[in-house]
Amino acid sequence: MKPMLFFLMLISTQAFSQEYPESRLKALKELRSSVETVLPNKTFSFEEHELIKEYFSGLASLVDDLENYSRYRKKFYRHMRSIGAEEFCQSAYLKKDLWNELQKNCTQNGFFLCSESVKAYPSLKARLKNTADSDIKPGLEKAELCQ
Amino acid sequence: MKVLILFLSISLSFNVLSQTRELKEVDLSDVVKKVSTEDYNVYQSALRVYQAKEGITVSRMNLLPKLNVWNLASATFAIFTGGPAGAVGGALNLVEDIAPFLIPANWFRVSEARILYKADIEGYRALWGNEVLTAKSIYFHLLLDSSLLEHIRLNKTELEEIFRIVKVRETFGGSPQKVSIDIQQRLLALEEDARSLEVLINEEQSLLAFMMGYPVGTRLKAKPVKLPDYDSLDELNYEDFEFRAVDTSPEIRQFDHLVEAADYVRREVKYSFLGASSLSRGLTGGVFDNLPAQAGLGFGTGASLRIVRAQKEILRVQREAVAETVRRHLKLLVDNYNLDVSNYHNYKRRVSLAKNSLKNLYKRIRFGEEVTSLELIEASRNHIEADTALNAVMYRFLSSEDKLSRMIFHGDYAKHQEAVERLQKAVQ
Repeated sequence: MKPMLFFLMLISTQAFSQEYPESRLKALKELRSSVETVLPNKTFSFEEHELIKEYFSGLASLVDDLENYSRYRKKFYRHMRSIGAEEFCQSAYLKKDLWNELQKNCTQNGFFLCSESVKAYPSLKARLKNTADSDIKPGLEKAELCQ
Repeated sequence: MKVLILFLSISLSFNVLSQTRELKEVDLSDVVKKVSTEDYNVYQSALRVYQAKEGITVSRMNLLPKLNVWNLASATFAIFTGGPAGAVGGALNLVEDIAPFLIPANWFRVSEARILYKADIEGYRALWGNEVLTAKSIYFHLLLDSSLLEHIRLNKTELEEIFRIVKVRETFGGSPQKVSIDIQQRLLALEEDARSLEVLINEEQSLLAFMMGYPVGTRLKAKPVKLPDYDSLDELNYEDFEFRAVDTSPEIRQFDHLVEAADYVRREVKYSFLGASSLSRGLTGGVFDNLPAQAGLGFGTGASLRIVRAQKEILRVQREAVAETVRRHLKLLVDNYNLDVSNYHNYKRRVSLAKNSLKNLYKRIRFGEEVTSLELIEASRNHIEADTALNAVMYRFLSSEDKLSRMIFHGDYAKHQEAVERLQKAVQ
């Protein structure tokens, strides 16, 4: 019996290790807003670079969790259904023109100077879309903010 | 028998001859590709990554029951000879074999193996990057030295022309005898320079061939590279590169992983009263091997925990030291790059002035004007020196740019993931 309990404890700790979707999305939204404030700068300071990295890594970790933990995925999309895909994208995603501006400012003298996670942004969005249930996917595909 | 020996010796010498004569034309992309797959050090490191990856499976599988005949025999003996107490003791002795998942240390080892695998990948990335950097640097030197050799030969021809003019003048008494001797000495020195360069080029070719996995005797011909538009180069700012250099440095990331693994080692010591794990942590995990994590709860557990904590602190300090080293290297690199950018126009101007001066002297000679031989020699020497300096700075730019790319894993160095995947497939 004890081994079984130990097993269950370990499995459940892993399954519930992720934050609640609401708080995670809120944190992402805050990070995105902070990134948007530093975006007009042509060059970024060390701290600004770290902030940009934090946002993109946060998004990457969310996508990883959605891909790897089915229970979390269900919970997350339940929340997305309640707020709508457009609202989700508005909170979590950068606008397309801002993303292009970031890409431009990250490149100097032909060198890419931002965090590697920045480069992965388009593929992260595509991966997130792939994890979505069939009723949510059209919303993610249609909403302009999700592009 | 004699025929066989003759046949063998002929075929062997043919092989040796064919090897020594083999000439391969390579370009920079060949260098990156071949070093990534054929270099001995890179391959060894890839195998270590593979071992670490398999180490995760070993740790995970060791959570499942295993059969150890001798432990089973000894437990059975204890059960049958020791009465009820022996039965309990015997069964407990078997816990490590039949229920290893009951020992927390084994679980922590799985987590450690996962983290150490990531550290090994970073180690591989660092080594791969350094090997590619070295090979590319040899390639640039090979191009530079070949162009210098070409240059020396051209200048030798130029000096021979001057020598002929001076010789005619000496014959007609227009110039002192000493001058032709000076020119001859200069010609001999140029010949020596050319021979030394030939040896150096051979050495560089051999080293590059070794790094690319070609057999001894393969001669490499480096294809020219596209040189940047030097006139449009701007000075770099250290602060722009600092974040990227620190963020992508595999050396720093490796320490980050080790610091993360230290937490699990601490937990291992904390729960050691439930048994210790006998699994190895692999090569990278060797930093934790000498930490005192004895099985069972003893009076030394507190001290053991403090030792592990100190080990974590050591790793953190080492990480900081590596980060500072990366910053220092970056600063030096940027300073040297900027120095070359600001000096480039000077070098170019020097070449143009030296060339003009030599051309004017030739023109004056052709018009029959008085030109001293020493003036000619001096002008020729200035021309050679200015040209050599310009060539050197142009290839130094390439080398500096490449070092910068290695520091921030840009360009060819961004292909590390492909290299990791290719090698992982190769070793599976």
